[in-house]
Amino acid sequence: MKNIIKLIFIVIVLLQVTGCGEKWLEKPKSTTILLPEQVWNDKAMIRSLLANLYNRIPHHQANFTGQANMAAYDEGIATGSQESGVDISNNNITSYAYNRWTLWDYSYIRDLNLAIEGLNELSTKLTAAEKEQFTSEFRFLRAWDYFEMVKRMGGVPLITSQLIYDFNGDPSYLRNPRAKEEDVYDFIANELDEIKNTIGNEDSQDRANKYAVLALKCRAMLYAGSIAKYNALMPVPITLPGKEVGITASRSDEYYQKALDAAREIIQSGKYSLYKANSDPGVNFYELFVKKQNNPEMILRRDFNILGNKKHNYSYWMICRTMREDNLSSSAVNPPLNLVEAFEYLDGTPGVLQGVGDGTVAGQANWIFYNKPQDIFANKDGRLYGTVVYAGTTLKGVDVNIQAGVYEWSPSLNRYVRYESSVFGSLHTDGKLLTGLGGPMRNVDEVSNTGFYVRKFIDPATLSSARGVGTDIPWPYFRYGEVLLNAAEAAFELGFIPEALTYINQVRERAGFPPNSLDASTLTFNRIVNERRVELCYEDHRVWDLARWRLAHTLWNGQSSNPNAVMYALYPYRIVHPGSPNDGKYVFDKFVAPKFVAPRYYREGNYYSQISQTVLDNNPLIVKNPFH
Amino acid sequence: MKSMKNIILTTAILTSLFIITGCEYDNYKAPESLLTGTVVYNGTAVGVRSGGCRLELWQYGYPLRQKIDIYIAQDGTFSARLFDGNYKLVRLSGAPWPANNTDSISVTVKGNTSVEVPVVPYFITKNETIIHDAGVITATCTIEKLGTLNIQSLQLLVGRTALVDVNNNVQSTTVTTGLTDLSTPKTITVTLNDAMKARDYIFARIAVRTSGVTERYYSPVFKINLK
Repeated sequence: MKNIIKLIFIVIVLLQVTGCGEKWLEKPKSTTILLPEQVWNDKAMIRSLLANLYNRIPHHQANFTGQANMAAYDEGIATGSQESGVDISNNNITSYAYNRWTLWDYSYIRDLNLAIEGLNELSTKLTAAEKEQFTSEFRFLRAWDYFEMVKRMGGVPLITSQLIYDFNGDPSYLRNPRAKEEDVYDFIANELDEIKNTIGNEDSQDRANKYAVLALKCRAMLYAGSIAKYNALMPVPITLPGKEVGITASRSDEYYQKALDAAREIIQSGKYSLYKANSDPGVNFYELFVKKQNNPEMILRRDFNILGNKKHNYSYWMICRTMREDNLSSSAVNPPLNLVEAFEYLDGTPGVLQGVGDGTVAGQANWIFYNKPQDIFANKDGRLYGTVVYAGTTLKGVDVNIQAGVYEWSPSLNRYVRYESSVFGSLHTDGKLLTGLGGPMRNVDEVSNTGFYVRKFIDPATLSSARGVGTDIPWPYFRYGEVLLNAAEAAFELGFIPEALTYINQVRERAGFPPNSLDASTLTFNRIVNERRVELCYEDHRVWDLARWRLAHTLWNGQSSNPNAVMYALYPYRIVHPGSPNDGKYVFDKFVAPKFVAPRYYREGNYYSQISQTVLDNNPLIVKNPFH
Repeated sequence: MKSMKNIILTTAILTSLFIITGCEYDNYKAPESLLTGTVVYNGTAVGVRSGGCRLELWQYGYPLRQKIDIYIAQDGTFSARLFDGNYKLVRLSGAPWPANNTDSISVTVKGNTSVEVPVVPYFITKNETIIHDAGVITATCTIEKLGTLNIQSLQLLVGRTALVDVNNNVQSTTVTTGLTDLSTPKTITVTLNDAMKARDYIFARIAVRTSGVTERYYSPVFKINLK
């Protein structure tokens, strides 16, 4: 015991002696801590900081994060895949929480302000042009982040320089009130106008250039214009007395005009065009998102690189069950029938599928007997194939094998009797397929519950859906197709119908429609709504679009009697009826997806998200949003 | 070797001492008092959507100011398990009545306490009757306007369970016309489908939606025997 104490004593003394010997605090150059002067005078370090800042742009729905939000609206339901974080609770959202979209991103804003000020005050070794370019990029990201905040929260405090506490005992001078919603949009427009010619990066798709700046401006101004117009058209517009939310209705045309001007500048530059490398419209639309090289449509994207170990697991989570390459996951998000029917027929008629039963005996009278399962989807918008995996198609060269079961004729009952199985690839008593390798199944995890899978963004490369390999499909932030639709909508709202038609018809022609498929009599507001739904599905637009049009609370009103709020499945069955011409044909039943529980419910209080209690406690100048 | 044993013994004794004494100090007693209450207008409970409307409970004197959210049950009642003390109860918007953020209600909780929270809904229903005849559910009520906002719709909701609201129902009818003159009683019907007709009993409820306000005012739930 004594020895031990002695030993400890000696060690402590020794540590103190040697510790004092070196001058820790006066070490000349640290290799782990960099001083501002060092960072702002080294281009390589600024670029690496910039990479960090690009990575911190907030995402709600993306291929590398937030897949659960693809299953939370009317683009998908969750199937209960264990690994993906796409929780089955997405099917049971009784009502969207008021803080679901809350974003109060001031640590990011601070870092951007710090970068802008640091670069301008401390940088001596960079040329003026280099400084201007970096500053423009920081300001672009800051404007973008303010757009992400204003579309969720309404007006937020506009902080454009570092807030530094002077330790005088009273920090209340650092409190800033919320700006008006329209002031934030005006700030974004002004910032982007000022930097568009100095941002450089002329031919980059991974760092913002002039056209990315214009694309952001176009999107933001379109949001402002539609909020100004459609909020005022509500029976009771959503406003606050200080106009922190709600935009003056009379300014809508001004914002639409700015959106159109920004879009025109991109279009007239001729620098970008729609991706049309493949002559098959469906395959072409799929390739648009998975072809990285020579893709003329991408204005700004977030790229990944397998070899550089910068990758994500979208394919692992989303891949169709039939061709999954891992022993877990797949099928995390299933597109509902609602989405599939939103894709029009190529003759311009609404996309409702024909000859579908409802799972009951009476419903069998409605059946059309199709020769092949894919026949029910014939003559549809090519983007359906590019977005959704449906029965009778292939993915990665393999037949998706989607079949729910069989209907066998019963002479004694004088009707067809349904057989389903929860065994993948099981055979019926006639020795042919009962339930496919790709389901769908009513109550099994990690297989489609709606009869559909996602194709958009799925990597065609071998083993890309295995965890150890991963995928490097980029995420499109801004692409030319969206710019055309933005331009079409802005022109339509301003009454420039012929101009709107040229833009929207280009997008539709690429999808397989004949030239000039819409004319002045058929172009309506609802057509634009639907066009954006099918073109921009899973690209983080749907929920924001419905919010700015003030459609969300009527479309998703939480009522089980509302077919827009309830997500449906479509199950294919093979007919077993020896001796009949229908034998071996296929029929379809439509019903509420078995795993879908609560109708989508978006309340008026969701249009502007809840500001957290901590923020309200710290700053009494912040006013709450309506209904909270 | 002997000293080693001693060290182990000492460590064991010290550790167990720590554990024993530790237990006494780092646990609070669970709150034991129950605050119950009802949201009322003129002494009558106000019906709401289950899980839809909240009250906020605040307590002064603590550095961490986090409110306690209290959800109101569909019959207008609520309850919370609390420590004794003085609280402030706040009526929020996002309910079928206007927010009253400036005028909170002081509540002293001492043992089990009951409180009434008066609100003025935008609309209320009175003299409700819901009857069944040959597969048709007919509801009649008088609507009274108490605020300045306009009425948007009148609904009759029919469900299988006692929990009936806009989220939880099997069949519903929505009427948006004929609501300008509120002096006469309003009638609304739901024709039951076969599955509902086959049941022994169903539950029904009337809802009134105010224009621009998500949460509806609900009448009490009626249990209707079909057989």
